[in-house]
Parts: sequence; C-alpha cells; structure tokens
Amino acid sequence: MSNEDSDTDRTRLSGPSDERQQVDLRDCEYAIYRCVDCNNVVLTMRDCDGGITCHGETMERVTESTLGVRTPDIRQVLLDAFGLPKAGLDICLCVIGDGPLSPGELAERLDYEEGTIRKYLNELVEFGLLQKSQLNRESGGFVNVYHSIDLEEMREETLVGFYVWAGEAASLIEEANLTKEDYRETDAKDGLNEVFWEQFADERPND
Amino acid sequence: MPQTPHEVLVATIEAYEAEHEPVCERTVARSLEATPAEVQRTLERLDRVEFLAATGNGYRPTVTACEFLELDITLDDVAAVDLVDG
Repeated sequence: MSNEDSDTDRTRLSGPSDERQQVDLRDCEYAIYRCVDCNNVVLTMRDCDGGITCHGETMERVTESTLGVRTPDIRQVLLDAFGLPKAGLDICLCVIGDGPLSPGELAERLDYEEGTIRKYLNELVEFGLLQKSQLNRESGGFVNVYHSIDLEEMREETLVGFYVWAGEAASLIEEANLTKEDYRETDAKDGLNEVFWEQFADERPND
Repeated sequence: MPQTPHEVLVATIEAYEAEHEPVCERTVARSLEATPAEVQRTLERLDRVEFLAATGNGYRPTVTACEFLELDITLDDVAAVDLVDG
C-alpha cells in the first residue's frame, strides 16, 4: 500500500491508542495543578520552583484522574491539532544522508506522488515548520530551498500551538458542561425531550 | 565519522576559492579525512540540485551554493530543493 492511502486513514493512525487507561500523574514529565479555591486547572511541562500560584495561593498538584484517557498517537495529535497529515510529518522527519533531494526524488523515497510532496512542502511553509528560501539559478530561473526552522524555535512554537489547540478544546468541554447545566435547569420542569448533545452541537456557530 | 553533505559543500567551496579551479573528489576527501568514494555520492547529489557544477576535471560551486551559505543554515536542515525554470 502506498503512503497516498494513509492521509485519511484516521482509524489506522490511532493505532493501539483506542483503549483507555489510567495515567499515574505522579510519574509524568508534565504536571497538572488545581487551585484549591476556584476551578482553575493548569498544565505545565516543567518543574516550577516554588510551585504555581492562583490568585496568590499555591496550587495543589493533581496526582490522579478518575477519567481514563487514550494514549495519544503523535501522528494523530499533529493531524488533529495542526491539520498536519502523515505526508507532512514524513517530509519533516525525512533525513537523507547523501544530501538534499528534489521533490521528485523525495516522492520516490517516501512513496508519494510528486504533486503530494509539493503540496505539503508549501503547506509546511504556511504552517511554519519549514521556511522557503528562493535562490538564483545559474541557468536562469530560481531554486526553492525548503528548510526547517531553528529547532529551539520549533519546540516552543509547536508547544504553544498545541496549548492553543488544547485551550480551545478545554473551552469546548467547559462550554458543553455549562450548557448542559443551563439546559437541565431551563427544561427540567417540562421534561427533557431533547438530547442535550444535539442541541449543543446545533447551537455552535462553526458546526 | 561520516562527513555530512554540508561539510562536503563547504570543503568544496573552500578548496575552489583557494585554487580557483575545479575541485576533484580526492581533494575534498583529503580535507575531510574521508575516502573519495565516500564524498563522491554527495558531490553527485549536490551537482543534481545545482549547488555544484561538474566540469571535465572536478566540481565548482554555483551561485546557488554561494547564496545558500549566506542563509546561515546547513544542508542538514534542508528538506527539499526544487529547481524552477526561468
């Protein structure tokens, strides 16, 4: 099977992560803290000297979650958070020992169509993971060089970008919980004849 | 330790600038303490993407290669090189 078949194969990409599992939060490289006064919950990827505070109070580290979670798959995460499909990831991670390749040679190595490689090279530039530099060509015309951005910059940018996505996702969950609460209070006396989830989905402007 | 494509490119440009004549794989290999066979494949690839131009007795750097070095990145960061006709 060629790589062309995999772009939309979300089921295969999710791989072994379908099963939910409990995560031991005391032994993670990240940490989650909750405010002891309000409902604020934060995620941090680093140890913070002196802990984290919320309105002046030290936040409490969360050591367990009652909800099981699916193990994330890096390809699925990049697809969901950034719309970066497997082909884009393959291009980013492709390391060629002998030197730079043309889009046609890259397509051959990675088993994609050349058009797909060109499309994703430009998408990766728009996305910000690659930069395109245009150089002069001795025979006339020009040479487009697609190169990765600084690794440190990429680390920070992808983390911030993911946090934006996670924040948007968290807002959706919060909104769903609040809407459910409102819906139940409003319609309780008349009986709940609608499925809450359908109304919530209908009311969202982007759905 | 195997030489990187960027090291091969820089060594070729330095040797060309020193002698002002095309550089053969033996010269590049000597400066990198590698074998001619090891650098030959990289030289051919750099020729294919027009960073080097093959002449009868070696390789010379192109305008493209000189402009590339001014970008302050290395070939190891390059995902693809696309030649576009004028």
